[in-house]
Amino acid sequence: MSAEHVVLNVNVLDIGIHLAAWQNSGLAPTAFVDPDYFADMARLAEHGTLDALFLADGPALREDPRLKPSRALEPSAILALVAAETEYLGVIGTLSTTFNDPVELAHRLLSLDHLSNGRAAWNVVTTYSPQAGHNFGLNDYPERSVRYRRAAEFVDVVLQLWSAAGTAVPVAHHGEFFDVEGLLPLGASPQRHPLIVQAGGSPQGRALAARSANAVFSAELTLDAGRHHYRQVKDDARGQGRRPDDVAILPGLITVLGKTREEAVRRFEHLESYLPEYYSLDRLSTVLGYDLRGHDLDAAVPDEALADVDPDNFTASLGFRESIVRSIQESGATVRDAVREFSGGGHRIAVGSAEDVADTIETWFRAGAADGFNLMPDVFPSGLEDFVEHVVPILRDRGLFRREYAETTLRERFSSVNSLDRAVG
Amino acid sequence: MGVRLRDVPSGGVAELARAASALDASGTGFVVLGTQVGGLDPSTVASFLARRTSGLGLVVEAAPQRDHPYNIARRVASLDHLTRGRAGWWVLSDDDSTELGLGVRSSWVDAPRSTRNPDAVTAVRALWRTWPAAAVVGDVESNIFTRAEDIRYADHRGVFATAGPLTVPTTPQGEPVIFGPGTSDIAVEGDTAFASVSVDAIGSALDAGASGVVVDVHDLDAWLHDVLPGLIQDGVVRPRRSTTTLRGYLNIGLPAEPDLSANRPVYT
Repeated sequence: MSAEHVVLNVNVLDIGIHLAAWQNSGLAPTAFVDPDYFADMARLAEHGTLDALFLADGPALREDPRLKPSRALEPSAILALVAAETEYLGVIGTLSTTFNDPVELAHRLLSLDHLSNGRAAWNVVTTYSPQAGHNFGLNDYPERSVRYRRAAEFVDVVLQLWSAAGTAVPVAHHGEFFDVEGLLPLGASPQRHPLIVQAGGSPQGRALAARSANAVFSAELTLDAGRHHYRQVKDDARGQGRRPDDVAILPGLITVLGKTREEAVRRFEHLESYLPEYYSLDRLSTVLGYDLRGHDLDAAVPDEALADVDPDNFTASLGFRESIVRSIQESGATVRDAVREFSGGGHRIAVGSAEDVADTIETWFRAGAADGFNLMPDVFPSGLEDFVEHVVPILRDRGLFRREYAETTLRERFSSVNSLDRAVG
Repeated sequence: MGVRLRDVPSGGVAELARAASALDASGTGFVVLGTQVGGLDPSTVASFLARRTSGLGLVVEAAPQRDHPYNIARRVASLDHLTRGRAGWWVLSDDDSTELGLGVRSSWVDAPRSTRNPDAVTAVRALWRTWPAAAVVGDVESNIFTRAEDIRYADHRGVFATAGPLTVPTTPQGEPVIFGPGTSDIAVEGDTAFASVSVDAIGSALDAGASGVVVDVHDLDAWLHDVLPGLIQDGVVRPRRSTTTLRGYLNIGLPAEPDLSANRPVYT
């Protein structure tokens, strides 16, 4: 078995991406630091023949711990445990180029790749977090251009060390940030070395993706924008002399599943009922730069909220606003619809039956807007259980997803992604 | 009593896992994992072995020369959660197994190791106490996940600077056990001195007053089937009971200091 299927990773984000996940998980409050929780989610993902388990991260408390659990345990530690617990599931960790040493990181990730028998990937991030800066004694946070220069050299050093592990020809690197000579105390792994994943839409990030990423984790709200960015990254990769299939485009997809669409909507509204009043409405208001409080939730979003804004006086993301405004204008959404649609913090949210969610996945895949998705269930474990039990069989029946694992390494699995018969380019 | 494997099984990851589970079953107290364990990164190996062992202490080497105290604190605390209280940190001076250009310089600070390492230990121990696990209440009635008034900054300013808090709540054994190797003995949390010995010198080191030993094991089979059973039979060492924390096995209580209660609260 190979080729024509969607890539599906699961992002085990805390106890679920929804703020009210912990109240609705049925798990003990300590699950977010419990080895059995991660082992259980890993086995469940592997039971559903998902491609990989992914962990987002940054070295600072991110969420307000009064409200929800936050990314606590260090990703490479969790993923080593996941590797011990599974045989085929890929393990993808987010590690920062600003807050690590490249030799230490290269060694740690190549070790994970050996321990997992060739299933590891590194999601490269530069991290923007003043709190993380303070944890590392930085009074002045390195500005974006410096972070990206460091990131480019960091990735270069790591790739040199990994490639030298195969050739045994020592690295001799002398750059702006790092001086490294020698070899890691390890040989090449079964997939040579870990894969590279890139997340984030900055020009420097996109350049990195085109040059060396095996996959891109993106945030897309609308099919049009998804198709546009998909073509852009594939074209960039081609421009770097690579095949378009060498880089898989995987947007985030938040799932809220029910037996029927109505049940899914009730599940979503139940979760939303835990949120502080106006929490989601205010979040959408901030993105739009227009206060929606006091507006009838069942009336259309007012035109004033969608009017052009002055770029110089708008502090939130312009690209994100534009994408939302366009989508609301096209659909004529009510305020209530818009709040639901855009409650995912930049990621697309699918609230519906298993058929509905499978339809979304198939539509994006066939339209050339995605090679697959990073799934972000609203609540663990039920959100992942329902996906594996109900959505995966539909995708299998449609010939869009594997029935069993064929490849052992993540590199082989991601290389089998191709875009035959799809409306690309 | 713990061991350091000097000749790692050559059969790769599967062989390493078999060795760890044999050590686990033997009653050996803990294993020290250095970068010479098949060339693999010790903390990653330890997290992997967490699921292949049930009571064996897993002590990992990490050097503040190479890795920042925030990263070390976070990774070792993570290991303590993943092993349910079996983690230790062996404070390595220099990351000498990977002689990659860095030499004795640090990636993070410009200071000699004589001041660098003690300061890193102080920073790590403060970070470990920033978020008391008891504050995680998960109260569905009031929608309070953590009583955040108990979370404090570490506010460490020495050779290293780190504000905290750590992303990890305090761990199953309160805090992981720190091993500070010196020139002649190993200070385990300050005043308990272990001796680093060969298989032949265990008895004499204990007779000379060492609180415990870390044994260099070159022949794992001989250790498992001959040396250790003999030592237990002669009453020289006691075997580890099946399920205990590393701190429980070593019979070392949780130090009172540092007390962060006077530090700035993170959430007000």
